Amino acid sequence: MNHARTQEAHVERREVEILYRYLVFFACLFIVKVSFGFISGSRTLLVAGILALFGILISTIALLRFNNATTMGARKKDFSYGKLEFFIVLFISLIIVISAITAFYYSVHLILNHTLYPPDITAGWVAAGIAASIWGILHASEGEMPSSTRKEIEEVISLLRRDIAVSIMTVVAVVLSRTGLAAIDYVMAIAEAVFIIALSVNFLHKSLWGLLDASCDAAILVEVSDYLKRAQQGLDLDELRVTRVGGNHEIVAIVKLPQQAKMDEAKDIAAKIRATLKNKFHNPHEVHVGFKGLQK
Amino acid sequence: MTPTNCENNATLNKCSQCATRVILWSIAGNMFLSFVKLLSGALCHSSGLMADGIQSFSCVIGCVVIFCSLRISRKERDEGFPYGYGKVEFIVALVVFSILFSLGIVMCASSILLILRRETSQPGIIALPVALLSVALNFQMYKYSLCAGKKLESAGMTANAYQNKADMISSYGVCAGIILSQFGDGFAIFDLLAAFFVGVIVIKDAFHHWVINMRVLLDTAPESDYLEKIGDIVSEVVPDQPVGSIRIRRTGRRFWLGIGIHLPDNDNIEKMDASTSEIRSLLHSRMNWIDTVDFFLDPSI
Repeated sequence: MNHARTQEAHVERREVEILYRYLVFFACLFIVKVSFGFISGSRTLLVAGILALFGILISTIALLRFNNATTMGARKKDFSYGKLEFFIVLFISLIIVISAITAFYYSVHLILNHTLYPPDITAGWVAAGIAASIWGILHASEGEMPSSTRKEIEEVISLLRRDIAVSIMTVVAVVLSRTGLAAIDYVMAIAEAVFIIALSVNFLHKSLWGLLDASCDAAILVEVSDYLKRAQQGLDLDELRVTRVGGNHEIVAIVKLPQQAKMDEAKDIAAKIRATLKNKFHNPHEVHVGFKGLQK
Repeated sequence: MTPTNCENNATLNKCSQCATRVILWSIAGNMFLSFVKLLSGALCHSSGLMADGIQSFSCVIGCVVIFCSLRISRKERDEGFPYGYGKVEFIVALVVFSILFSLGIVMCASSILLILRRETSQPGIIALPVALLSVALNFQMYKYSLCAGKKLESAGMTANAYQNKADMISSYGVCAGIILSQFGDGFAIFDLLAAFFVGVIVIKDAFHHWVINMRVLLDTAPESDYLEKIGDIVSEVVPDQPVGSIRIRRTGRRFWLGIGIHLPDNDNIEKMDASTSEIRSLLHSRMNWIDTVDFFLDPSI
């Protein structure tokens, strides 16, 4: 048992190190892309810098969730700080969407006014360098990645892969722009901006719905309900509420029991429900089990 | 977060109808002010008045959004939103106060820049009646919105009130600037100083209410007195039994309560139902800010 816990702690430490590394890397990516985007006049590279903000956002959230998980036990008074994550996502997503809309507007404006200037070739070299460094980092991390990687780290890796594709697009845009098709750089920037806006809207929706205490998807509710009924035969659920609190879930289950059922039976059922849900959701969560008498 | 007892239903209905009228009048009033200020500012070459006109127009947009949020927040809870839609108002209020905060910063920053560049202007005295009209109208809208906001514990109406207050005090600044600038070129700087102090007041008000709304959305626990009072009521019904954790979450004007209870093993569900019904009745009669109460078996007891 002790060996398993030490192993788990070691894996967690490794995951936290990896996340900090990615956070720093995305911050550097943002600075490099935006600076060289301005210097070289490449719209595509500039807008690609906004995409790096997503990496900062996801890494920050993942690190917050780690921190929240380790201190959750100390925060019984409030609903923990899980909702702070929704605020951070909302705030950063708003910055991203406003930046992307501004980039979109100016690119369209410049195309319509025929004020098109091809970017400097530096932008192409920088984008190629970024694609190569991301590929190198992913390749190097493969060996040291823990076997059971968290969903958040997988999201970061997926974003990095997308960034390679965006960097290659930037190289293509720069090369084509310098062959006389200056509009390509602006059109690619518009396409990137649209993609970023769609991604931000998704993040905004999740964070707003989280702050409004919205229920999880109906599919998750049905899945949890079926899971509980399979684990506990004959369970009569009066109400089931599953809401997100940051990376965790808050689950409220109200169970119907016969009026003459004893409290010790109810306590056993409550303990079994908590244990069952702990097996289903591996991240920490809050489970509240209440009871109601069956009407005669 | 300070739960307070709500008014009775008859008063609440009257206040709800009043709140709807107030917000519609705010929309109409701000549209009128925006038009008059922009026109007068252009005719009198008053940049302060024109900026004020743009601010009034942004108030129109804010009022429309607040009006929509009030309608949405009154919807009953459903499967998608098991705790209701009450928090929509708080999110909208947060956005409004964020905009006011930014506006305050812009006002302070632009006045400092203009002072440092010594760029002062001398607006015509004809702009003064418009600025005074703006003060009077905004004061009325602020007073009625704040009353409705307090009676209904409505974050949206409170945000609307402070929007109108910000417009009112910036119009005060415009009045002061116009009057002082008539005494000569040397006094024109007071216009900019007035704008700076107006900005500081707007920032202070916006930040204070921004924090209040954020704490509601983060489900911050109230002061321990409230939790103790709730614990005492539970102990009245089930004496000699420990009271578990008490969670309070705002669901709009009222609050959801989750109470962890413990009952002896040989009690049955029927007795538990009777005890919890009694606790609910006592809580609703003594603390009418409570909406729903759920009881859970607390594993920590």
